[in-house]
Amino acid sequence: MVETIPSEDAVSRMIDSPEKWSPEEQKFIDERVFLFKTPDEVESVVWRKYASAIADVHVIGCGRQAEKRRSEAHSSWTYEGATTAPVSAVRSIQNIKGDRVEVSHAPDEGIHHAHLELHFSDGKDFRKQRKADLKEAVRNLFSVIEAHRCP
Amino acid sequence: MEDFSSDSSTFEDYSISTEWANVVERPAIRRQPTRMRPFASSLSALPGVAITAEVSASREQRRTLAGIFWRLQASKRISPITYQYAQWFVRALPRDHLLPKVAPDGEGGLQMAWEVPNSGRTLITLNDSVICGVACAGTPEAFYLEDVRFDGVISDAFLAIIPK
Repeated sequence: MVETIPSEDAVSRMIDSPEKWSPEEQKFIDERVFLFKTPDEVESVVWRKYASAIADVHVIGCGRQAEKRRSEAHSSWTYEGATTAPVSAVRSIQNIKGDRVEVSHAPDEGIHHAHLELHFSDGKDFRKQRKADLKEAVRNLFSVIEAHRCP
Repeated sequence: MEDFSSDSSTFEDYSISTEWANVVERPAIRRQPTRMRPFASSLSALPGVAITAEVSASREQRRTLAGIFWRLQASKRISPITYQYAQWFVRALPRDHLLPKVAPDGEGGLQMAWEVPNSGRTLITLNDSVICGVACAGTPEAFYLEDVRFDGVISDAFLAIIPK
């Protein structure tokens, strides 16, 4: 059942290498943390209601790593940890065109699974710029990793 | 349609340090009589050594960028047309401007980013031949530049948002 996510809650983004995290430099690959690819323009996060401790998020991450590594193409895929932000902060993002970011429950991939969705206001002008601006604002919110090494 | 989805099996370090010194072109060397050259060269070499090193470093960084573009294109993370225009863009970027960090945008385009102290980041996206720009991205002061077809010359509007 799809629930409404209250603004008082928090969501976490799972971070993997080599795509989103550089193990050598120990820093985010900023442009890759959130892509919001068209046409869906959504990104997955963990709703902390169903993974209240960071260790619970890491359990989900370790499971994802095991699943990914079953494929030879992703044999180096590594869960590196998670970064967290309050839902209220995500929902307060708004660019100069009035575009916003919504957080919604998407339990198709597990009860903890939620989406960040870009919501564009009217008008198609500056679409790419507006999207880049929103992505940057989202990226700024998720700025600290809680690192983890899967057993 | 090409699949530009990420392939995490091949890691590329897209990050290039933004702490590059401003580069000053080596001044033209005036032709002098042959017998004067060694002496003249030794004098001009005092400031020239540092400048030459910087120019050399800049060239190396541009070569590194070109290599990254090539790998992104070869792994189909950016389109062949974007690849071509990315090379032209970097060649057209005056040497007193910083080079960007680059990454595929996940849709065949290339995103270039520059840190601007206390003003967020400048983001310029290259989609085939079209460039679009955001200054102060992610901040309330953000502003957007109109999409333009890149013709080999970076317009003043875009240069103004790229840090030196």
